[in-house]
Amino acid sequence: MPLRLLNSSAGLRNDNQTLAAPYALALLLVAAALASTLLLQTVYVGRPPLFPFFAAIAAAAWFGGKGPGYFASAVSVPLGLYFYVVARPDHDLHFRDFLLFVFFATCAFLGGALNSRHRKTEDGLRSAHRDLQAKATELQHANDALLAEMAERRRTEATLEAMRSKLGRVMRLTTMAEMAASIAHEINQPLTAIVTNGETCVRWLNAAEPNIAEAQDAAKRAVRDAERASQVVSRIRAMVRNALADREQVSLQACLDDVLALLLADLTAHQIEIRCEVPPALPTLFGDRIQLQQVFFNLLTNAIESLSETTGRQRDITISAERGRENTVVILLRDNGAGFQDCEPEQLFDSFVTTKPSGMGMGLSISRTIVETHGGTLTASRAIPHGAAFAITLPLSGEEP
Amino acid sequence: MTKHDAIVYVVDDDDAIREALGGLLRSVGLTMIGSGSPREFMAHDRADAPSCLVLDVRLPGASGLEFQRELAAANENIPIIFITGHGDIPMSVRAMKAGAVEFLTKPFRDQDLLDAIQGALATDRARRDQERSLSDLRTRLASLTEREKQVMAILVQGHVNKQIGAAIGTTESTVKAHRAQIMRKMQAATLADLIRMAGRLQFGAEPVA
Ligand SMILES: Nc1ncnc2c1ncn2[C@@H]1O[C@H](COP(=O)(O)OP(=O)(O)O)[C@@H](O)[C@H]1O
Ligand SMILES: [Mg+2]
Repeated sequence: MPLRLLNSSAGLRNDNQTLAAPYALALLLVAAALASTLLLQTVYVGRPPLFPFFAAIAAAAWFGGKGPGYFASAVSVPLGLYFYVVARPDHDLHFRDFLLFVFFATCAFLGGALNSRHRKTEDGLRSAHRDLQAKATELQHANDALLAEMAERRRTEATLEAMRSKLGRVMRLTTMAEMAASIAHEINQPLTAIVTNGETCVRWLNAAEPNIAEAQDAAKRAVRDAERASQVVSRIRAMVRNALADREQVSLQACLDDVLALLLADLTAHQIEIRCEVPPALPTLFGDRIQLQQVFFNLLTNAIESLSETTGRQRDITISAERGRENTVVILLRDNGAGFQDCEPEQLFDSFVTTKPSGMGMGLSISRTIVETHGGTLTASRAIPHGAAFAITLPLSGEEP
Repeated sequence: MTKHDAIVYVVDDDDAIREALGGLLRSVGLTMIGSGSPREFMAHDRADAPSCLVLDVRLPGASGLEFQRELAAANENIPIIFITGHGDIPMSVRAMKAGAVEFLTKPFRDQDLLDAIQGALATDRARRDQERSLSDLRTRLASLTEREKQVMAILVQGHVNKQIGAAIGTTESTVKAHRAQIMRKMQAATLADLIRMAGRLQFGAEPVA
């Protein structure tokens, strides 16, 4: 609405300014017609033609409208009288001079009227057009605003969705680590009891006077605890079977993209350059997408943690994939961080092995378990000249993307 | 002192572990009292015997480390041996700094646990002996008359009978009689003994009436 208001006020100002101007213009035009007629008279034998006046009237009516048109006619008529009747070349006043003058005057008024009418119609059309255009602009503005609002809403929704799925993934990754730790605890408890009971049994048997009854009790307790441990193991097996039910076709590229998006902030914060080259025509993997993401997440997190302590060279992570033997894919993850130093790479895959002050030592162990349940292998080696390299071999499902 | 008058308390929420530990301790003639939670442990009447606490770090509700702090706050001096599911070095450092005797990772070797328990019991026994003899001394001190306490306070500062007599306004022979009573009641063989006792009791540190 403010737009239209602005338009009309502009029009109003225009009208006020040009109220007197058309009459001045009409006068000026008639004067020009007079000047040119007088000029014609000097070169013309006999009475000069009075066309310039028609032109002036027509122009005045066209530019100024009805009032200035009649005004120009009114000014032109006495001048016509002058030329036809007063300043006639022959000294006799003929009837045809009057006739010509009347004809001139009629034409002058007619010209003014017709022109101004035409002008009025034209103006009407033009103002209608202007109104239409204003309406169209207004609509266009409204449309633009709506589009911007929709784009904004889509962006917000996309951000929200990204945050939700990131949260979901982080939560699942954390629960998996926690689950692994709690499984370790559940196995470790009966194991501790078994060891203690076994040792107790041996103590009773080795005593100066062996106590068979006590030794038997201890041995029975050990057996009972071993049964409990084996129950935990079957529970884990069932869990893995359930996890197998979640399997689907997974694109390696999409899987890596998701994890990299999740780690983007970390990578940027530590100025790590990442190169990821996966052949575009690689067939899909068959597995649990979240679990496979967890593997890349763990390995990349380790690489980032190692690189964050690395100074004096550009920090790089390279991920590449190529087809291996018998329809497999070999995925290589390399960083140029400090590497494994004195540790034997193979040992790092054991649970709870960590060199970090607040490390959990579960990352590599979980990752290897996941890769192996997918029918693959995960190995570590030293990268040349610095850093760590991890190779994941996984079977391809054979379906081209 | 035989092994039997020592008690090993075990707090672990896992029944199998408590049973296994009970069996092991019985095989070496130690008495065990097991509890599934710190609350259960606190509810027990504690025997007046050298004891130690084998405490699982991972407990339902409060962690073992929190319970260690609570015990310290309640002025319970029982030595603590931690057992934990996995060797968390920073955690064990914290536990040791807070006074834990030992930090063992499950599964532990029986001998490691038994050594830790024997060490803890020895520590507790020594502390108890100390506490007991101190309370004995307090009883002895309490049996002195006000006059005798007055004499003893000056005596342990190394003054001779004559000076003491002058200080409290009595004769040298009266001081001598007081002094014999003090030595008898405090069961001190020599003056050096008496001075040591006064030191332990922090007697004389406070102004004498
Ligand atoms: N990219 C790497 N560079 C150097 N060391 C690594 C790398 N990845 C793993 N490690 C070593 O392996 C150990 C175990 O890793 P992990 O199982 O993920 O446990 P955590 O990260 O909690 O220590 C790490 O503590 C580290 O010493
Ligand atoms: Mg890790």
